[in-house]
Amino acid sequence: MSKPGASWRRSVDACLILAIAAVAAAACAKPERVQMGQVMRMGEFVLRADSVQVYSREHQGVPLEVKVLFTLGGGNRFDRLDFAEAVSRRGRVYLGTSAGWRDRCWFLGVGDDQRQMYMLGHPPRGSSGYTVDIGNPYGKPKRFILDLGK
Amino acid sequence: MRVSLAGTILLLAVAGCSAPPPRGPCEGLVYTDAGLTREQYGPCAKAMVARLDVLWDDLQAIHDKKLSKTDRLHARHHCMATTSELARMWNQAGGSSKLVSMAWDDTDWNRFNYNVDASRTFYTSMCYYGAAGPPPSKMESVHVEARRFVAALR
Repeated sequence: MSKPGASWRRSVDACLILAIAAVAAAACAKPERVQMGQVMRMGEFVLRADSVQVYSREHQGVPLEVKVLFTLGGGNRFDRLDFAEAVSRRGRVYLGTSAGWRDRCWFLGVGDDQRQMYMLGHPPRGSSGYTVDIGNPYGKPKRFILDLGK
Repeated sequence: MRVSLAGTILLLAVAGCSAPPPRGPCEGLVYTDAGLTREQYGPCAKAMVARLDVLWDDLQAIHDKKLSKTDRLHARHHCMATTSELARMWNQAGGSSKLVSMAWDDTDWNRFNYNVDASRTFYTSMCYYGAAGPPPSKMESVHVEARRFVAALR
């Protein structure tokens, strides 16, 4: 006859093993670090950050705005429209600073051919060391860390 | 106990393996750079206009004082269900971003999509919030134009 509480302990052990496995899996899914102008492959799509602008719109109450312009290739223009939606919603995009500030952003397609995209972020005043964390909903790597070089 | 459990699992497995529900006319449309073809989008367009016609009939019934209160309430519920159904079809076909905001090579379809969107927006608001003034006396021109367009499709 098993001791009272043995089954409870067994389930706690199983949960612990599962948690350790989840942490190990998360540690193995290392993000890929990329620089400006470098290509990021996501499924049939090719994304490249072309330029970044950091400016102030103080007169409108926005101390700092970061605008990143991307070029997108692959698929047809309707697929590219879906791409912006999929990456923003399922993959998730975050702008971060070296001080540890981080906020969610959205990709926005430009024009009817949807070959250009941009994202806007609003970090705190005096920020620097910007990175964009882009989730890849189409496979591996799971995330790209784009260094904006500013 | 075990036998009944196994039976239940077997039943669930059989239910899970049974044929999937039939695909609607607006599901699985494949876009090209040009947009959608008439052959591909035509059945979906017709189905959406048919739902608009149902909405129009429901709106007439909602405002028909000759009908009993229960019948008018029933018409309102039916109207609400149809707006949801139409919204689902619209989103399955690609949603406003693909149907209205992007220019297709065949601009007649853009006009049609705009007409359906305008009609469904108006009818949905009428269905949910009712008419502030008298009931609509004639069909919305955008709805009429959409009907004419699908009637002309081969």
